[in-house]
Amino acid sequence: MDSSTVFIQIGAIVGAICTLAIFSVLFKENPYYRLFEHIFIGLAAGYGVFVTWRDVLYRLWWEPMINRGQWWWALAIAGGGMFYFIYSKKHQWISKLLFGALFGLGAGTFFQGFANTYFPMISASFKSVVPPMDVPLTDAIVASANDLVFVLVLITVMAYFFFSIDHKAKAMRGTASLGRWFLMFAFGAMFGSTVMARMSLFIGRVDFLVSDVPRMFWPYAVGAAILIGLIYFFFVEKKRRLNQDAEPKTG
Amino acid sequence: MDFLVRLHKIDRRVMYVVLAAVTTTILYTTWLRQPIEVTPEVRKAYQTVEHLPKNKIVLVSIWWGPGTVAENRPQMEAIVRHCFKRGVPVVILPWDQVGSNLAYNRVEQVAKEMGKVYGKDWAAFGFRPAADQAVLGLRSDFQGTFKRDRFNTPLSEIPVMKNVKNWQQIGAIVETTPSGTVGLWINFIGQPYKIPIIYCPTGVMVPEGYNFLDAGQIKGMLPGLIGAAKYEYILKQPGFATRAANALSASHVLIILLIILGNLGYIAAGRRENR
Repeated sequence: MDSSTVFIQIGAIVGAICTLAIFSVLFKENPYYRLFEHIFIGLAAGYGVFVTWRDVLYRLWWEPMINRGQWWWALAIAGGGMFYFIYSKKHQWISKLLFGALFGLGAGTFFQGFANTYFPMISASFKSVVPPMDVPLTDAIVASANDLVFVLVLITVMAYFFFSIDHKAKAMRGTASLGRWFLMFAFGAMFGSTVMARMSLFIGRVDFLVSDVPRMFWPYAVGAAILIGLIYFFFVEKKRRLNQDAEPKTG
Repeated sequence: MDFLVRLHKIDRRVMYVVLAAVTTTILYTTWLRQPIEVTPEVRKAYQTVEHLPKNKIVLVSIWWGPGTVAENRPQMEAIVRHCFKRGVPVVILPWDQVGSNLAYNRVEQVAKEMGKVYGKDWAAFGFRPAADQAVLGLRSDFQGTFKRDRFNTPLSEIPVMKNVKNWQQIGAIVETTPSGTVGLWINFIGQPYKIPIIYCPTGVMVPEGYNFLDAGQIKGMLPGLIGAAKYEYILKQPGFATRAANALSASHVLIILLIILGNLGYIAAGRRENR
């Protein structure tokens, strides 16, 4: 077995320990979960710093500046440093120059993006409820029914959010009420999609634990879990007995 | 009635164990093999890739990381396999620090399996922040925006990238993401230049994706893990997603059953209290 395979297997075992430790919170809040949660957060932050330096700062800033004579990249330090003046009460205005510029750029791109995102959706919402004539009858009826449902849901939901007219009139109240029901169905469907996503992630973890982790790990893992459980139970039980003995006896 | 009331009081840990046991069993046995029905949005995605020109690159945008690897990686893999099968060059563009390595490792595996060579048939960039600026830049000056690949090789020295100057050399964009980032590509590339976009969201973002699909802003969608399973089915290359689809369905059936039993128990408990 070569060294790269050994390292991969060690990595998988470590991953399995981390996964099981995080899953242990489903049983009960415990210090192992907290420990590994903190390890993950620290690891993610540290890894992020490393990758940002390797792929972005070193390649796009440091190397051109130092090795390829592009001295003007040094001005990026001044620009980036301006952000940190936010911590100074006296010189906070320096950071506001940079924030203002970035907000302005962001607002500009947002307006362009808004048009490209929503105008096509608005134009696509004008659907014809008349069955098309150039397709088979069944397809025409299905298409027409789909479009009718779309238009009905769109109008009723918009009525629900339309606050310029009072919802006192019966027709308006009924339409808005129907829109509310459609919204609830939609949110239910979205929640169902969320459940599907979470189950998919769980299945991914199960596949990792079964397929990627070496089989020899599991007897040791089960043994260690039993040992840890016994030690934990022993200390909890001992503490409980000590507390019981310390309580004054009544009667 | 007692039985129903007791159902209402089942410890949630028991349900977790049952769910885990059912999911794991179905995942690794052949007891349940449901037929896969290919839905229109997945078929549209397939046909979009099927008609891509071979002299333009496909940009596979990676927003996912370890948190959603189970859903997004099979989606990415299915589409990359299809592109490799057709001989369409693939370029991996990661916006996530850890996802960058996860995506590269899997594509490298698939490429080795299919005899594709890095630099000639595919390429990958390193992690890149500030996606807005990068996308705005690559439209007009791809080489100037990205300069070097993941291994710090200048783009001019990579055969598959040396002729990519701007948006005109991009055949399609495949957006694999756990959040609502497809708008970035739609706004700056899809709408202005009519470049097809295939959206591969996690399950959470799927309902939003249908709005874009209906408006024609995206050409196809792989909805979550099940979308990847459907794509594998069309490709006739079953993988992890196909196996997982059966376990996913079983877990959904179990959850629905537990919800029904829980609600029956809740009603029964309420009636008992009212007596």
